[in-house]
Amino acid sequence: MIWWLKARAVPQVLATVLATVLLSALAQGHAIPVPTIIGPSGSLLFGQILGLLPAVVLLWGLERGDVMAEEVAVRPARPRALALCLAYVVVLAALATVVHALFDRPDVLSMARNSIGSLGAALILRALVGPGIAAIAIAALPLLCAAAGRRPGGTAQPWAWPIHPADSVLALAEAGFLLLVGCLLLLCWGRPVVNPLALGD
Amino acid sequence: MRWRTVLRSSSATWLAPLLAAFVAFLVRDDLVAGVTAGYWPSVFGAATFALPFVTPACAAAGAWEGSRIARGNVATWAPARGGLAIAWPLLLPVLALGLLGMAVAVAFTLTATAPAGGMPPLSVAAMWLVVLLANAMAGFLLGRKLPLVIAAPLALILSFVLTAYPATLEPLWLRHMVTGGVNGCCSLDQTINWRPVASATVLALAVILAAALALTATGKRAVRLAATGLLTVGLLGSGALAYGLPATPTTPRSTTALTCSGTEPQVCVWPELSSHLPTIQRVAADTRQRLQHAGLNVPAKLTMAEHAGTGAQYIGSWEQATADNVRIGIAAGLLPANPPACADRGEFPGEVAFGPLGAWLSLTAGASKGEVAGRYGQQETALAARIRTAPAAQQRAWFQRNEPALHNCTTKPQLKLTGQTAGGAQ
Repeated sequence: MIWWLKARAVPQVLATVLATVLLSALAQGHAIPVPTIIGPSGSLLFGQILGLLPAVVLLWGLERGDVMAEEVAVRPARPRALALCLAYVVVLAALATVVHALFDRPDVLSMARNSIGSLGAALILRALVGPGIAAIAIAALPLLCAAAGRRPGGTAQPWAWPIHPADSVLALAEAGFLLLVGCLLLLCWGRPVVNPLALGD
Repeated sequence: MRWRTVLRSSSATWLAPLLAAFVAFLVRDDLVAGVTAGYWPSVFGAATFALPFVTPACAAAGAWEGSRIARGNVATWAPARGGLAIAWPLLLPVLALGLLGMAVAVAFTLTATAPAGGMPPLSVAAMWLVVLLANAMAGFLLGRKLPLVIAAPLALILSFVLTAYPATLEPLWLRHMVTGGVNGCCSLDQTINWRPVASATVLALAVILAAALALTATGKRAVRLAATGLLTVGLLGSGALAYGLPATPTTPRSTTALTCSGTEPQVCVWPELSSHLPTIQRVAADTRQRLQHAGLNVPAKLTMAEHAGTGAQYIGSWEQATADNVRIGIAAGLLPANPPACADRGEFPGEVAFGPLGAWLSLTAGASKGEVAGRYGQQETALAARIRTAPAAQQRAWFQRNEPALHNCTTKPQLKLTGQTAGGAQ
């Protein structure tokens, strides 16, 4: 078990989760202005993009194995990977809730929601095109939403869940849905459908 | 390396259509919104708006290439060429990717306004090149150290944060060290200030040199020291160049660029408007005639140079050569451009006179009421219109009584015309 945890980079994931929670608690309210001339001025809260980091480290951990060996292994690898992802979600959500309850930091909540949603999206893309493109895509998603995801009045479009405020139920539901589909794909699909860049083989 | 192989295997190849689509569909509206018609510096300045979105793509592609090198374990196979020579053919497509993104941006600003003449500011394009290369090389180094799945998104986010976040920092000039300060460029009487462009270029060059050093030199300690030294020098130099600049730094354009024509009055405009010069001159002559008929003295030389000199008058610097712009510009030139110095220290009773006086002058010059109201306000325009119904001598007296109030802080303006019946002016 210890070897498996080390191989899946679980210590690194945990350290990154703790660091990210701390950073997003400290960076509460700070935002990066997304340049716009017309329309509502976009801004990305730091909390909304910090969640990418632990998700990406977890994604890397999932890729560290040998795909061929794991497909023919005696002990099933995919349910264990799924358990790892779900444990990550639970730990992150719990930490974020505790920090918010103690210190009133809604940015930490949106960081946790975005991290969970990004993980789900990354798992979906990973099953389709492989982990490298998945990682870049989930990093580009907040930028995309910040550039094009705002209505003229300044509120976020319904589909732009990364830039929704922390108390948005719709964004939480979308992130949860992405996680669900991602976990299903993780369980059922071993190798990506299209792997144009031959990663992980 | 064979170029076909490089293009086939490079990450820049599949990122190119995505980046082009991103710039074309998402940034297009912002690109064309701020362009000054027919002016090359504004075409490139507005296109720089896309730079914070193109540099993350370059950084992510650079990280991808770096992690490919690391995965191939090239360094342990006794390579015949140095690190920089190995990296160069891989980074060239990444640079091309960045240039493609900026070319799409320039294409949009160009189609929004077709400059008739003048030279495009190549210094801005050179700055883009250097900034993109710096991002690509920094991403490359990151990709060599970290696994691809972590390095590529990290490079993307870091590049975006470093380009966009300094805009919130105080002091204001810090942002010019990464963006080059050409975003607000330029109206027709301004041109690009070289200092912020040089500032961004110096910092990017320092990053490139430090990255090249890290790629080629051996001896970790020496490399670390030298790279840190280079970055420090670059930061200091860049900061020194950008120090003290305002948020949108521009340089006033040289007045030798003005083209003049006609004699009575002689009208001098910026070369971008020279194709409209006959129309402008015709309207200006008519405006001058109307204003002189109302008893005002309009010089025979009308110019867009802000410091007009004796015998000439400043008529504003507008880019659309509509008749209203000409009339309102000439009329506004008869009033002082700024409040008197005493207005900073105490009360300025003449402040309320500015609107009605300007509106009256513009209406007398023949401008349309809607435009005048848009410029000076509805109420001021209505008051001026009422004044215009009075006999000519009374209007002249009204103007001469109130105009001195704009020059000092002691004269109180009397905007209401005594004995007027129309519309209940009192």
